[in-house]
Amino acid sequence: MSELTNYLDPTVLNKVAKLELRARLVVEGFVNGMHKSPYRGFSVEFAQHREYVPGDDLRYLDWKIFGKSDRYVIKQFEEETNLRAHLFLDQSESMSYAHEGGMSKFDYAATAVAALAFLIQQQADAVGLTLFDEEICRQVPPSNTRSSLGNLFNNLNQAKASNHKTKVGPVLHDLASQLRQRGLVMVFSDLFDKPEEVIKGLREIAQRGHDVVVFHVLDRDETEFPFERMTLFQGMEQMPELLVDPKSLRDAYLAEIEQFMDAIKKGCRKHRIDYVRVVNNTPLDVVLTSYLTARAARKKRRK
Amino acid sequence: MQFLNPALLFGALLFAVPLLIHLLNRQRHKTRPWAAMEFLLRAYQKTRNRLRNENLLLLLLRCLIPILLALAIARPVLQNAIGPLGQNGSVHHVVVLDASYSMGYQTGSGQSPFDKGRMIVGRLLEQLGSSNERGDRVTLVSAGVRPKFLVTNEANLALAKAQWLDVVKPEDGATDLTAAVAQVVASLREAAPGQTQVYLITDLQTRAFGKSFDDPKDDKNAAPQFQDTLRDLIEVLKKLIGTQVHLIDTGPLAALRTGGLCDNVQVTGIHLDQPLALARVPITAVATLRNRGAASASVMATLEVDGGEPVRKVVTVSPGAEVEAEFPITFRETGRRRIRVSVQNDNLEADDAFDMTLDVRERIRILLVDGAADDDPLRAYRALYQAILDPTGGKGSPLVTQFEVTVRDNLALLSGQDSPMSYDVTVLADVDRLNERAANEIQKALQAGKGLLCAFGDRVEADNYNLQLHKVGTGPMPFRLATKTGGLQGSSVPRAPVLTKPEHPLLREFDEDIYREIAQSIPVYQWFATEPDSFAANTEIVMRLTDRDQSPLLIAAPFGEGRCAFLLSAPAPADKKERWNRFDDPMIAFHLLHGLIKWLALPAQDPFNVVVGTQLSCSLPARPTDVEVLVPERLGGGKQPIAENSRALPFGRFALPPFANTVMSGIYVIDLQLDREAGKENWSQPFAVHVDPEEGQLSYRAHDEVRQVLGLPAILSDLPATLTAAADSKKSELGPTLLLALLLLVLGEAAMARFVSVRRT
Repeated sequence: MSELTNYLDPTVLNKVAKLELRARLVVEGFVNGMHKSPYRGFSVEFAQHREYVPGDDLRYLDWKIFGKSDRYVIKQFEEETNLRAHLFLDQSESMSYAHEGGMSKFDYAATAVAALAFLIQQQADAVGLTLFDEEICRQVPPSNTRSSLGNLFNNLNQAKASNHKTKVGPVLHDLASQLRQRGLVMVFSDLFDKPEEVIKGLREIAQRGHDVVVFHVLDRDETEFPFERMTLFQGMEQMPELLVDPKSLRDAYLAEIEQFMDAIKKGCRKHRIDYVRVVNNTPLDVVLTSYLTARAARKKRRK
Repeated sequence: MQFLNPALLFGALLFAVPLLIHLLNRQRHKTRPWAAMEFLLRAYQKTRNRLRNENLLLLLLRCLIPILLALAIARPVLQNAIGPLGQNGSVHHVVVLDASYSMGYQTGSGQSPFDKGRMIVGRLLEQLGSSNERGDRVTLVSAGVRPKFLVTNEANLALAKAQWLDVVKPEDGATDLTAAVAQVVASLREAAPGQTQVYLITDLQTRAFGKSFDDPKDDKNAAPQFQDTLRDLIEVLKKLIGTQVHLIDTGPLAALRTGGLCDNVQVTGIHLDQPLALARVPITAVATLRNRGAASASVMATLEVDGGEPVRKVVTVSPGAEVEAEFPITFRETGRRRIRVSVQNDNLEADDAFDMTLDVRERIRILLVDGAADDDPLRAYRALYQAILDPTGGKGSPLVTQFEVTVRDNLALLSGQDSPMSYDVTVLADVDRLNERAANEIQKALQAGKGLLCAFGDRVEADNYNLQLHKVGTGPMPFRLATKTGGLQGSSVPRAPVLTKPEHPLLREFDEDIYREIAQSIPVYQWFATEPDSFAANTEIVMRLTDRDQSPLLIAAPFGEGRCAFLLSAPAPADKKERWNRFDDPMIAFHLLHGLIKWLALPAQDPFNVVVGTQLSCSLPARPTDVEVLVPERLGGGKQPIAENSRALPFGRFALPPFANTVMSGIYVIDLQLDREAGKENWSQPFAVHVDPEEGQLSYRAHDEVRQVLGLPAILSDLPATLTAAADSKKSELGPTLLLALLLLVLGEAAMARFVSVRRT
């Protein structure tokens, strides 16, 4: 079990080339490491069975099947089967940044997306994927079939950070209009856009009845700015370059980025959007936990 | 602003190093693509001004460090620290170095105050030489026997150094600085106004400041005051625009600063127990030794005659006391002889020896012109004079008689058959009259240092003497004779002599009171009166009579280089019934005539024994040529020619061309040829030059005392700090201040860098 939990660590995962395997390792490592299932409050209208995963409420364990086949199966109910998860992944140029020896923000986010997709599909929920930069690049419609999951993984494997700018606000605005059925929307992006534009786009999605979770993916360097020597910073996404002593700018930079993140966070809170700040050197269980929390919260609201 | 090491200012170019490091660091940057560029740019825009200011300040501090360091080691000196600027910014350095013989006092380090002074001046010249871009000028004055300006207002420092190298030791003179400073003041007053530094380098010996440095009598608590003009001169110097005065103490007690007394035993003089030295007659040379110190001293005194076998004697001298060391001598030969008494060298060498020259004669030759030669031999004057002075008729041992009397009648003198020039003393014993030839011969002899005794008696024609010997005040007789006074024995009231100057050397034979009492009880019946208003200024009346007018009886006066004595009542032999007095009494005649003749046999002046600094000269019987001076070893030895022509004197005599360079003690021998009618004649004369013993009083003044009296801010022990490496905040060299500022700057830079570093991390 300890070996599996290691796969939550991005530095370990970075050595695993295949995304699907990476996703599986993440989910299995996550599930084995949980002590208490977050699955609670399932509906009473039975729809189908599914495999038990640690953390599931034992009240919904189908003891008859366990008695017949010695398998742990959970009874799923109708409403749960209707969950549609929309995973939006930013593939703009800024997402390609990686600190020395670490995963890029895009790789980290893609791994998280894959893991979540795997987990959602295992729970027989429908999961879809949207890749975007300054516009929508690729889309995989939500589905709970295994083939669809394979398609999602293929898209993720083919995707890579583009050289386009981040324009989260307009893209979310476009996506909001496309989402017909309410579901769970999870956005993975560094959100390097104007905060008010970002919030505006998220608000539009949330106002359409979706549960929105924003995974604000940042690089360790972007949150710590640990540089010492004179450095020429070459701006991504057509930004200018700057030769500067990083030590002298550290405080001011950190203040700026903190202010940016606070603005996003406050905007999300205002519109009841879950905001999760993720740094690409932190274990991925944060992402999965955040998903499960959001799922549980959604269920409560439905009740 | 001046720099003592201006070449080091190039070090300020190192200010470029921090700039280069800064530029190199900008070149050696890392390149990194950056996603969150918008935030970085915003942060940069917000902090750009502050960062730029911090960085500029740090860069400025780092650039200032090498600049300040270069400035500090270049040793800047404030202009106004050494006075206001001259027209061209140059400084006139005037050095007065005390070169009296007390400056030769050897201290424990082996360095005399003079040596220290030389080193200080040498350093001054070196320092000026290394930074003379501003064209400093120097005046170097050696304050020895006479102030000697080695260079005056000289901008050529190489020349000044060369001149200074010639000054190797102090002179043997006794100097106070007054004369030298007076000449410096005069020269500075004539020079163009400008920045001037005057350095007085001395040992702070009391004598250096003048003769009087005593406590005032009225108020013992008051500060001592100079009685000479040195203080005034320094005040004058200080008032000259741009002039500063520094008094530098190089004396043996300079470190103490409290003054005091140093030990010194010296030979202060030599004299003979007899006025005249005669060949083969034992005589005693008496050397006086003085202990100037505070502790008793036993010294070995050594006597040498003509550089011969020394005679030694151990003498103990109490502190402050003077003792006499007696050395019996017998000269075998006549002529000019040299005596030297010395003690073993102590710390002050100059006064450890004393030289003397003296003329050793066979006998004292007397020309007795007997005014009564035609009389009965027993009544003639020669009867008395020969009996008293030469009872053996010139044939006895010198131990018995020191005189050789030649008797002539007046005719021999008047006709020129015999001349006073051939004798040491001429006695005119009641000679009635003189003609012009005889008077001229007498004057010529006197001019050559011979003696004349005139004994006035019954035969003397006063008018003739007044004409031939007084010569309206130009002759050897310094008064005019009047009339005969008194009367014959028994017909008038006898008078008695009064010794008005009992200590006069002429009366040295009356050295006991009994003889003086006898002398003052001798009756005088008749005498020549004098005209009271006719006496010349240099006349001494040694005896008077007890008459109403207190008539002069014995008159002494110099004339030329010789001496004259006039006895207004001539002593006569006992058989002469009309005698004027009872000086024939052996109790008085012996002492009176011996004393008179011995005194007259000596020249009035002794030009052959002089103190350091005196010009050497004397009168000569013929024109001198090829004059050379053999100087003593202390002056380097060797012969120096005298190119100056001799000066003609009255009566056919000539003055020896003066030799003035007698700055060291010892024997100077002058060799020359006398250009006589018969041909050239070699002539040699030693001169003894001795130091002034008072300079050997090594009493030094305290710094505070001198500072207070002279009104100086401080007494230094070295050059002012404006010219030395050692710095002092009041001494205007900015190096130490800059070093302190540099230290503060480095600390400030470190603090600033630390502050910025902490703030940025």
